[in-house]
Amino acid sequence: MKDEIKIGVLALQGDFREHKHMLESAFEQSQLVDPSYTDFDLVVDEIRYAHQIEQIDALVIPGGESTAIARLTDDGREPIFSAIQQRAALDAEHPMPIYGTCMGSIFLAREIEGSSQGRLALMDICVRRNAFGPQKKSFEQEIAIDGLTEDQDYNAVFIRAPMIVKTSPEVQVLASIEAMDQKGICMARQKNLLVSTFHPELTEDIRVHRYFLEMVKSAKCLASTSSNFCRSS
Amino acid sequence: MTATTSKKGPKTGTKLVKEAMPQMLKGGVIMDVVNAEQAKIAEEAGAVAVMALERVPADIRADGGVARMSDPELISKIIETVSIPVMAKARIGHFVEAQILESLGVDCVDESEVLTPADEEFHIDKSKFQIPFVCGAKNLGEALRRIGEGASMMRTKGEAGTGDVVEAVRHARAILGEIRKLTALPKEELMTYAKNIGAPYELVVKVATEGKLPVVNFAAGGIATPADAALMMQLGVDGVFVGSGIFKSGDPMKRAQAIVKATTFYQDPEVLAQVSRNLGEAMVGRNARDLKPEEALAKRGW
Repeated sequence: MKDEIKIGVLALQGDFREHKHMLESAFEQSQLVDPSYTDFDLVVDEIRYAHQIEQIDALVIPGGESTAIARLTDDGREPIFSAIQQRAALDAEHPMPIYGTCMGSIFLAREIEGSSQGRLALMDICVRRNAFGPQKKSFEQEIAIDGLTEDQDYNAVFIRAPMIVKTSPEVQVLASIEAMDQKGICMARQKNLLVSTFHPELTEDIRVHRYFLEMVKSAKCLASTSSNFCRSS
Repeated sequence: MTATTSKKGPKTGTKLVKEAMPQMLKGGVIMDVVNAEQAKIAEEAGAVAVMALERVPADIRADGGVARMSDPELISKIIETVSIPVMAKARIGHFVEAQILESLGVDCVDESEVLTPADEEFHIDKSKFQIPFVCGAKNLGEALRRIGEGASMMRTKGEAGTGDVVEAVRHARAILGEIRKLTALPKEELMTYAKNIGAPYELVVKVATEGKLPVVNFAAGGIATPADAALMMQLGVDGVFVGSGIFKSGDPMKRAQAIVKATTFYQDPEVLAQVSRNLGEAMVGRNARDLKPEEALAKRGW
């Protein structure tokens, strides 16, 4: 049987189907241009329950409304947050890769400016919710992303977007944004954790999802006994 | 009001930006609220957005008279109170009410049949605005006409203020059923199909190819229980609006939380049974079938 990578998309609320679609497209593309991706299959699952967290190799937290999701996870009967925290903590033996977009970046942040709402608090960043204002100040803009946009800028979609206002030195800043009189970080990585305050899943551009797949593949190489994940192109 | 088109700077109000906002609301519940206190309860219960209005549809029905856009003061207070998106209703065809709502900073305008129409022939040109619009529809033709005018989100009309889900079911089945049929038609039949349902040809071709509406599609109009919400989700909508159903019930907070959970776990009868327990009284409701023809709100819209 062929080896398999299983990525979960948190499906409590938000645009999780778009992420599933993007991961599948990104995987197909990777297989075409990089033979090391033909040694295994990709399965993308919708995640709604804590017990599903054990079965996945990586997780995507989609865009949505953070207060709504906090409500869906903090009532004590669905301890899905603690399951994610255990698997993905920076000091875990093989920490699970997570990619959070927009709301996902709020959930991963250790600090949310002026708010005590439920969060995973895994990544050393401080996030300002709704940093640009109401929907009429939502926008798309071409940005540069470290290592991804040498050939072509990336059209990033910011919807009532948060902004990363502070990071620890361990956090690698991948992209910044200046718009609507605001300036800050819009994409960053710390070890197994990747966040963007914009929404690659709403465009056709698969570069960010391919970057995440590469993170997942490397993590799987370290955590698995099969060498099928360890070839590089 | 027109979309910014400068090359390097941020582009606001584009089709992509307007259609992206409702994407973030999928799988969620949007609740009608008439004041800041209710908005706070809705947010705490897990609503993904609130709809600010002066009277819920059940009261509009009871009170009669002309129903208009809410007082800007009320809308501003609600915007200040919550961090989730705030929507507000404008009358069908009343583009000035929509301009006022945009200037207040609401995140989305509902051009709604629940208010008394301001124009019995034409809807608002929604493509001109920086913010998205949601509109109601009973069938695919109506949905595609609204999208053609620039709506970034659709919802069923149902029969607002009745607490009777039957019309929302009818409209969801009509829209989703027509889409399923459309995907089976050969290309040469699409033009006549477009003519027959009164929809823009390009959008008919798009739906036939993709098998879904080009924008997010919610259920609305008569949803009163967690089971109602899950029913609509299982029929294939992207999320639900609950109007009078929450704040006309015995225990709004509890019912609101239950409907939020039911909308996420719509395929899980155990969770649905759990959240449906001891919710207190549901809104009294009115049989949609017993409405006099002039009382049916779903007929408004052209």
